[in-house]
Amino acid sequence: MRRLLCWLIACACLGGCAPRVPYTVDTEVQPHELARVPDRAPVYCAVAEDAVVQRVAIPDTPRWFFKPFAQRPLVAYASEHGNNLIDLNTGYVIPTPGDRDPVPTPDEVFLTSPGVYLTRVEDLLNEQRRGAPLRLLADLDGEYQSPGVLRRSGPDRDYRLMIGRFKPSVRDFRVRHEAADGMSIEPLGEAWRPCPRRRLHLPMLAKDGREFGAYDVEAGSTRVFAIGGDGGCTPVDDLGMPTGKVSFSFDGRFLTFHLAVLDQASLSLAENPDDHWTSNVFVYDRRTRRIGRITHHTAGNAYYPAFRGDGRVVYLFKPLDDVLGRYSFGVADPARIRKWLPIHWYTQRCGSGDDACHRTLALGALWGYACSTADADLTPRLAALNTLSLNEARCRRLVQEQWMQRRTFIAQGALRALPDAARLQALSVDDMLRHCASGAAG
Amino acid sequence: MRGHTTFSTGLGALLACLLQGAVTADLPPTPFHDRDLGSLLREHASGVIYLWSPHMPYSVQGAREAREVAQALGIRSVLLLDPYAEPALAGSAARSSRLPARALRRMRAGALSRMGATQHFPTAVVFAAGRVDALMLPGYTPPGDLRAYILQRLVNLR
Repeated sequence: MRRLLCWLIACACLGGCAPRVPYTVDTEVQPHELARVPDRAPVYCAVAEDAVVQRVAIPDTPRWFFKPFAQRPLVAYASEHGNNLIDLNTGYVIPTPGDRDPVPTPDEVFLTSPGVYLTRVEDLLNEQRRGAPLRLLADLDGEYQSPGVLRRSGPDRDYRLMIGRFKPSVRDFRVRHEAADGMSIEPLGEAWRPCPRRRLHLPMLAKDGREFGAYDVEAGSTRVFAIGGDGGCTPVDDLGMPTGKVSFSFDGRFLTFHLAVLDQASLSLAENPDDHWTSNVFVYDRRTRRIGRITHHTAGNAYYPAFRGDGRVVYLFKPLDDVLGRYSFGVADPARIRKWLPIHWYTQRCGSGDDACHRTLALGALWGYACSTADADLTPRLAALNTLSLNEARCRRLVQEQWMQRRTFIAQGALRALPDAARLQALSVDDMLRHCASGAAG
Repeated sequence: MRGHTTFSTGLGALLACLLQGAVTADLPPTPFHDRDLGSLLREHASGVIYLWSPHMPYSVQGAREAREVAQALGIRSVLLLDPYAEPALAGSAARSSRLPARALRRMRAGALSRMGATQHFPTAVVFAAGRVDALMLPGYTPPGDLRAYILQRLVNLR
């Protein structure tokens, strides 16, 4: 009875029982909403939130499956009440066919749903024209579909669809647009499995249909594979670590994904020692093999990022302390990321003599030890991920106040396994300040 | 465009709040920490840890199947809930899929987070001979393939 009363009061006070008007579009993202930094925390423990440009409230509880459209400000998502489209500019929501995995094609012509079904996006947006979805091909079934556009010829398109909750399979098909709004669908060959001998999970196709990313179970790593004309596949990129599902940018250069990372700035504020792990969004530049960090949440989780055509990334966000379970979509611009560091610093041990790598990890460990109560979990990789949130001003302050008293502890603690760990304790404040000023540190 | 009507009345939202409260009361109070993982490894020769989330529908289906696969293999199965899953959703998903109450234990073991096991749901991790496998299996896997995977990893671990 007491619990019931508590909930009634909580609902009344927090507004959870008020009618939910879904039209909350927040373009003024406040950094303090994203990170958990106590009032008396040293200034260097705060995190910089540069890349996030928009957050839009979701009116119901989403499943963790959504995909943004390429050009339109729309996101297709699955919720507890079925599939929806939400307009990020207005907050309006339109119910769409199916109850899971809605995925638009990269050209925005179709919305696909498991089965596999196609619905014309134009029809969805025009209430007068809504009709039943088209079953794509009777022998093509499955979920987690990801579409690519292989070829365009006038209004006609050749698509590739990758399907698979596990064991990816691929099917190509041609859509011919005919007069009077008609169209025909014809299969281009049979369905087939790329890399049949590898155990690949969570496959996601690139927008041009020529590559896909997947978690390679035996390698314990997220990798990218090129799909050959003969149906074969070749590994072309290896992130060197397991990640959440990847999404390719429209030009194929970048990947985005989430990682569960150790919360570096919760400090002693974290009353519950269990919530040190949160999910944050990262971007990997395949050309430079560098990684950048999109979100720096310590007070919430950011999940399943996906690229739009404008290069921005849409992700799902949930604050940890929102007992009413409200989610939002965040939009972030990777062009605003100020720091990109070599991915091998995170996925492999620093090589002997690689001073920049050692010093960067030392800064991350220093920050972790100085600002987090979760230092027992600190590893070189997590220390390295910390540094992506540290800007130069905070880095300088951190080094000035903390380096001398903690350098031995760092060399003998989280970083003790590094080849040059012993040399770290000989570095002076000036050495580390110089590193703060270098691009590698921020 | 027409707007969404979910919880469009105060009554609906009130009901949702009350339901959430009721299900929260059902949740087991003890999350699964590193020390529980240690006990599991000491007390059971082998098994599979299966992390699921009500936000990922295939993982709910997978949790039930993983339990059956483990039972058929005669090994221990431990179903662990996404540490950040909505309580109401978790409760109703567990009930509708007839998962045991212990499937609502939240995953809080740092050792599993460190290896990336909470990056996707479901994720299966095999253990045997006192240690957790370094490899994990994220994403839904049908029972036959899950069984084959578990057997292969058990051979590797023993």
